[in-house]
Amino acid sequence: MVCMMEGTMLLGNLEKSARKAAAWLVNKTPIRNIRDWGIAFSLWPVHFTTACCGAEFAASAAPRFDTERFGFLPFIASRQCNLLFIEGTLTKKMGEAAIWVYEQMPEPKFVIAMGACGIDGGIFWNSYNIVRPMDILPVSVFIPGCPPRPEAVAQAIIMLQRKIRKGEMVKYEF
Amino acid sequence: MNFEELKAKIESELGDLGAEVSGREPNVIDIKVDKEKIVEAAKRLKSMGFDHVKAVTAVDFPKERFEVIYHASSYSDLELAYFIVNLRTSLPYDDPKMPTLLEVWPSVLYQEQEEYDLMGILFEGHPRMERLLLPETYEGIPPLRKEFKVKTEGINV
Amino acid sequence: MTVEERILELLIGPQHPASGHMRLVAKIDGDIVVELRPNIGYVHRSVEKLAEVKKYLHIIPLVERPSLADTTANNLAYVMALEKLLGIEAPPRAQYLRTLLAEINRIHSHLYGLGIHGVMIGSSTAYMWCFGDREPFIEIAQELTGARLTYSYIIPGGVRRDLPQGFEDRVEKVLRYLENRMKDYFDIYFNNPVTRARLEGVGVLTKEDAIKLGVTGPNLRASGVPYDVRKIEPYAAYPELDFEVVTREEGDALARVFVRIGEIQESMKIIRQVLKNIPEGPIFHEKYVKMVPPKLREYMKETGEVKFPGTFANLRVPAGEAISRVEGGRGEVVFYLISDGKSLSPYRMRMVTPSFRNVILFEHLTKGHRVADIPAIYGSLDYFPPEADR
Repeated sequence: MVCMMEGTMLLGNLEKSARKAAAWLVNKTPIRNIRDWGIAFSLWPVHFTTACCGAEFAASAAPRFDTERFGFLPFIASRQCNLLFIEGTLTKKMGEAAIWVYEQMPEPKFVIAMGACGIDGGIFWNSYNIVRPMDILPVSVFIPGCPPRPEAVAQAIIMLQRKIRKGEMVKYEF
Repeated sequence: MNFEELKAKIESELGDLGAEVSGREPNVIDIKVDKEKIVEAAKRLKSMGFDHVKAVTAVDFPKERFEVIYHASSYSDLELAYFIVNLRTSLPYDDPKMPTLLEVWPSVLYQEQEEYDLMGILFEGHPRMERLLLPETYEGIPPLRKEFKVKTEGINV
Repeated sequence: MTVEERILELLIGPQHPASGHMRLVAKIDGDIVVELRPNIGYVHRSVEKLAEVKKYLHIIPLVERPSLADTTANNLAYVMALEKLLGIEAPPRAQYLRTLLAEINRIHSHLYGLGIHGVMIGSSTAYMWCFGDREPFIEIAQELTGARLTYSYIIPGGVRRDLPQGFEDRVEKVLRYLENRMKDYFDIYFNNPVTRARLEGVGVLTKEDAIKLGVTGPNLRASGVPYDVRKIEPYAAYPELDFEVVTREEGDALARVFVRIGEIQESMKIIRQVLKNIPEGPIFHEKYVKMVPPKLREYMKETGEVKFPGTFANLRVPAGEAISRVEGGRGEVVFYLISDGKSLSPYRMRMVTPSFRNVILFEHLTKGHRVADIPAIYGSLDYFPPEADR
């Protein structure tokens, strides 16, 4: 502790400067492009099925549609993932869990809401037990359909990739 | 065993409990009993071979009564399996309480809990009178009652 | 340390690869499960309440949503209850078409269940194969109905569409494909020593317990109870078809898997019979056909697509009550419908799905097993949480 104190005193704000330099470098054009390209092709959705659209989500990860070719690999733990896929309706009970999962994910993180229920409740719009994902989470891409076809899931992934590679989504601030 | 025979048999078995037996062709038999005698009626039905409950339905008639219906049938006797027995009872509206049938039919465990959760009917003796489907923090009118209103579309197409 | 101190409470889910959309609250002593309590309700969307404010025809898509992989069973059960109230019966060709779709749906629902079970016990191959081979069946169902999963094909008085041209050949091709594949499944997955070791003797459900707990579907038949609604109370075209009820005596996880495979094979047999014996005739009840304007009636005749009569918008149902049951992929679906004869929506709709009746098995089967067996048992039950919560 003392050493660190001494270090700070001797070297000024070295740590802060280093962070600033890193941020400048990462946001600079060639490295930034590589960074965004890397993020766009390693979208790992967390394994968090919220409702029945999970059936079509599972089908989109299966051989016929194979979204893994976009670097889209459903993964187990929320701490290793950067994409939260809201698969259909979010009930009040599940909404709490969705917020916990989202908070555990490391930056940069994205949310895709799947299905009509993910947009405005869909066929369950007047149910007493649902919440709308956009009220509690920052959703980047919505997929319409009830349930959306696996092709639509693939398209949503490509749309998110484009957004990321345009540099709209990821902002590093140290 | 055909419909009439089974109906007559149930009538003779449950007659002394004051049960009203009616039926709908071809395979549904309705039995109406008081809530004090429902456990005994269920026991007798079980000894006849109706060994499981398919569903427990509670129906709300506002300001009047609640009706709880046990749809029982058989797995062990495939001849009886064709029939569905609706064991029904009425509960007063302001105090919907009835004894649980868990001892007789263990298959009602979650069904009765759901009716408590969504309709607010208290099954006395049931070990899990707590929330099942709704969030634990839910308070207010049980949602399946008629006085609980949900939004509806305004346009009459 | 006393036993009470040793026992830990372990929360599995709702974000867990082997928990689906629910939470399992397990009390464990070392690696042994002492007690497991499912905490359901994470997908409760109040279908029963919404049915009370929707019109009779609008409920058809509503009841399909809870069990997305097995929609036909719910659709058929609801329409059967409605038809009992209305006092109509669909023409024979429509009954055969209903059976056809129900069996296609049963096959891909079972493949879905087997695939999820595979990924739960760590066999990604099984997941990939089952989901890949499920697609041809979805394709043919899509050709018949126009949707991948949510068909809404069965309507009061008939079905929405007739058979497309050349449908039989394509179905035959798909069936032959799956038959050839079945051998590979046995070689790679079902007879795999790892699969056997994970499933054999795990989660044994005795016949007495199965009856007592009121479980349903393949889980019941794997314990040796030959109860199948298609035989007990035959509906649609099942009385005229020849098939067997698949049962096993062991009652363990492997037996449940084998019952599903047996049912897939029986379903293929049924589909062949349906396509061979399907009678000619109308696919919509003539009472409703008469209500359609003449121009649309001609269109219906030409294309085989049913147009709804105007009365369907505000369908009035006589007062009364009806109960219907259907054997879906996961088990018996029960609908209980009460109509008061005045309003345009049911007074009360009770929908009991097979998964809701099978929830009770979680606490019953896992007791005394290891924690690693929980996914193996869960997967073998083919439990679908949205269907249980409704």
